[in-house]
Amino acid sequence: MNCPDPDLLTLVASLDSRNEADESEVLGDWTLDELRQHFSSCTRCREQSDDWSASLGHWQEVDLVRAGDFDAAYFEELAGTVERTLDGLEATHTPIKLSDRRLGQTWTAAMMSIAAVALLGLGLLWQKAEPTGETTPLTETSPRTSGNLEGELEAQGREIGRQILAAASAGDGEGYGEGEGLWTSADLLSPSADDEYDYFYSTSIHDIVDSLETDEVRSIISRL
Amino acid sequence: MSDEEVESATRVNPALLEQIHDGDRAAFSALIREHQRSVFFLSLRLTSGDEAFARDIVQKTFLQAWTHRASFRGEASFKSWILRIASNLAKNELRKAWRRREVASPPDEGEKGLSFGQPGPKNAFEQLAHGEARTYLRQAVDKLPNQQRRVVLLRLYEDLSFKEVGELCGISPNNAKVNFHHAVKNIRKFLAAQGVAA
Repeated sequence: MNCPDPDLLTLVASLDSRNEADESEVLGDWTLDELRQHFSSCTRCREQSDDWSASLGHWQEVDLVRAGDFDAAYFEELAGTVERTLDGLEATHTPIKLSDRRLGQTWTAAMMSIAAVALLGLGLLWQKAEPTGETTPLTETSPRTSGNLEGELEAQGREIGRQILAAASAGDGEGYGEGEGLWTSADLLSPSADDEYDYFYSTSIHDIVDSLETDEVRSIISRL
Repeated sequence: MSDEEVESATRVNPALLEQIHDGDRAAFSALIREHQRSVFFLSLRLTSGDEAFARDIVQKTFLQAWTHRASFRGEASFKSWILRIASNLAKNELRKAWRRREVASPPDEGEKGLSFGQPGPKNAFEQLAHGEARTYLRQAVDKLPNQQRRVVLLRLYEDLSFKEVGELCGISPNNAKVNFHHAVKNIRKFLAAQGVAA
């Protein structure tokens, strides 16, 4: 008699309680109907299959846990606990306000501030310059004169920014402000920072500039 | 009902899925109530009755499911998806617990160490009181390698197809069948060695 592989019988036993139309491949070369026909004529295979079915059925009935100890009220309470956990998650996940953003994301703010400092410095320079017989345009006397005044100012502003940062941080070794997540000079000058304006950063730049004496600003500018 | 029909019936309604993707907590709450028992009992069985652990896994599972709800596209049944999350979380938590030596045995992936001793006299397992039978069954399942344990629990107690079991365990359906076959044979060997042949 052509009997199925005995190992197949453990799998067949797990099929008994279900309509396994989509699990026909479980049986390999046999269909469920063919197996049942075989069992009707092969006592040994039928007994082995029944034996496995009985074991599996009993293991399911005994279970590893006492499921009956956990009633509907228990699961209602558990669902409530899950809901409160999700409420807690949503309560802490508030949108980040612009003012809370790390300074490392404000390249445009940095450049605007540096340009402001550059203009301030140039304004001070004009104010304190010795009067001469002639007034010459800035572009003719600046050693870095080029046709693009805006570009020149930006370059000079960037340099002034570096100097100011170095001066501001020299005393205490810190970057602007306090705590975590604030810019270091490397972050400030990194082109990877994004373009959004950061109020906290620009305020700090202005505070630093305001705190410098005129002579200090002239000294920085004269090193350009 | 065929496997396909069952799976189709257990798939999340597209309108409900859209509500969940849109952040509708009430819609998600309905799924919590529908599936928390499966998650709870799977976790409970994996730890042979650690209720606190099972509750923890339920919370973490639905928290993960909610956080990553956008990744569930409704192609598989929600039950399969949620049990997969639960199964992976339980596996990780059990490993951590073992590292902290809070559980007795390390997770092992092979059949080494499955020694059952000599079979004792044959007593009918079916004749034992449920409590006593449950103790033996727990011991037998605890001795299984992790993959066999997960496969047999999912197949026997969650009524999943071998295809779904394979997806949950990250193995092929054929591999799931092989693991199931070895698992039930090992359980029987252990019970026979304890003198309670089943």
